[in-house]
Amino acid sequence: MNITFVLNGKTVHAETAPDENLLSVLRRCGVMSVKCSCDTANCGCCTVWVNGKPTLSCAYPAPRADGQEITTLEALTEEAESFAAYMADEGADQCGFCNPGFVMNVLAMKRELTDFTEENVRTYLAGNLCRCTGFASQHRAVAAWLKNTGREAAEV
Amino acid sequence: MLFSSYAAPASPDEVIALLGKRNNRIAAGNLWLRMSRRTGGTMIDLKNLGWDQIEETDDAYLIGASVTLHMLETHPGLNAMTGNLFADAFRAIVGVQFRNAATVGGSLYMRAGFSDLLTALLPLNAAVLLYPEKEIPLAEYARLAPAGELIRGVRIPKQEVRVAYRALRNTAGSVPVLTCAVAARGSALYAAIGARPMRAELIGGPGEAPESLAAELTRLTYGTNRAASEAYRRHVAGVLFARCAGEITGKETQA
Repeated sequence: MNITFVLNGKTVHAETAPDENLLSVLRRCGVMSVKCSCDTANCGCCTVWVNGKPTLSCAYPAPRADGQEITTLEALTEEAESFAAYMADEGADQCGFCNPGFVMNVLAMKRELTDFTEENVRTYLAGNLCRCTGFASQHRAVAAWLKNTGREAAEV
Repeated sequence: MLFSSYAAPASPDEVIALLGKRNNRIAAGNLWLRMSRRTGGTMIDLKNLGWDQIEETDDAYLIGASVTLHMLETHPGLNAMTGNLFADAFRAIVGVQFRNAATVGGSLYMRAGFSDLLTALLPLNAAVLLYPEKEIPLAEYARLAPAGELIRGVRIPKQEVRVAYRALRNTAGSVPVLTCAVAARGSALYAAIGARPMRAELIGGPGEAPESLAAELTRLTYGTNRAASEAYRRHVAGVLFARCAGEITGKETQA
């Protein structure tokens, strides 16, 4: 079946099987930042935004994407690079496989949260699993980046 | 191949007609369904029914079946009424990306024993709204086996309530070993205990004291699986209940 959706600001027509997931269609469209890692909807590597909301593209039925707006890391290069510098500074960028999904969720968090307490940040990013870092370096990078971009915990 | 065709009907009657064929299934969040072993049939998508809204009436919140868990946990009105009950109950469910997909209707239809949603909704006196029009108290619905019914939404009555939620997980982000929600409404006190590992059950009523409810919950059925033993769950139920009751009454009770 054919679907039409907006991918990173451009209208795209794609062929999909009825039971295919969005991740597979995106990779066929040349979007290689999205990856399937756990295959059980747990790891967050496949995170994209559907109408601005971070979503697991491995579980999102591709036919459902018809008429929707899909955003991937490829559309957020500048902002992602600015955050990636903080990841590098903290040594949080190791094998890098989970980075695109993690960055997509970090950028979504920055748009959605209003109070960037450590607990709120950790809760928001809990769905992105990393086998290398143990998360401490990632969270240091996120905290430094938030601080330097004017997003901090609200005054109590 | 999981499905051989896909349909996104524009009316619930068309969904009902499609559900008449044995192999057809509604895909809600598609989080569990995608991992199932099944072949053929039609994947039914409810996206064109407009059931993805939370409506506020004079006396209730009407939650559409396709409302996601993340919508529920971030709704200002529900958070104000329940003291962030759903945020407390859902924060350990995998991650935001998962909760932006998981739906209220899909979760309730599954009636999973480990459902944080079912446990949280039970003491709020919620009701399941079916199509064609039928309303079933959630406590009753939770005891029924899934039978291909079409959930339209959930009604949560507006109420003055103090409610607290606790769950125990062996690992952060995994399914809970035990769930507990306690609510005080007027002189009534209720507790819902889930992941025993059976589905959540509601106990309590008007005039119930925390001490009698604590005794009652030890008499519920608990079970053993890979995650925890029956005895451990029974003990944890008492501990979580005492913490919840303490939070809403401001004093400790004996577990």
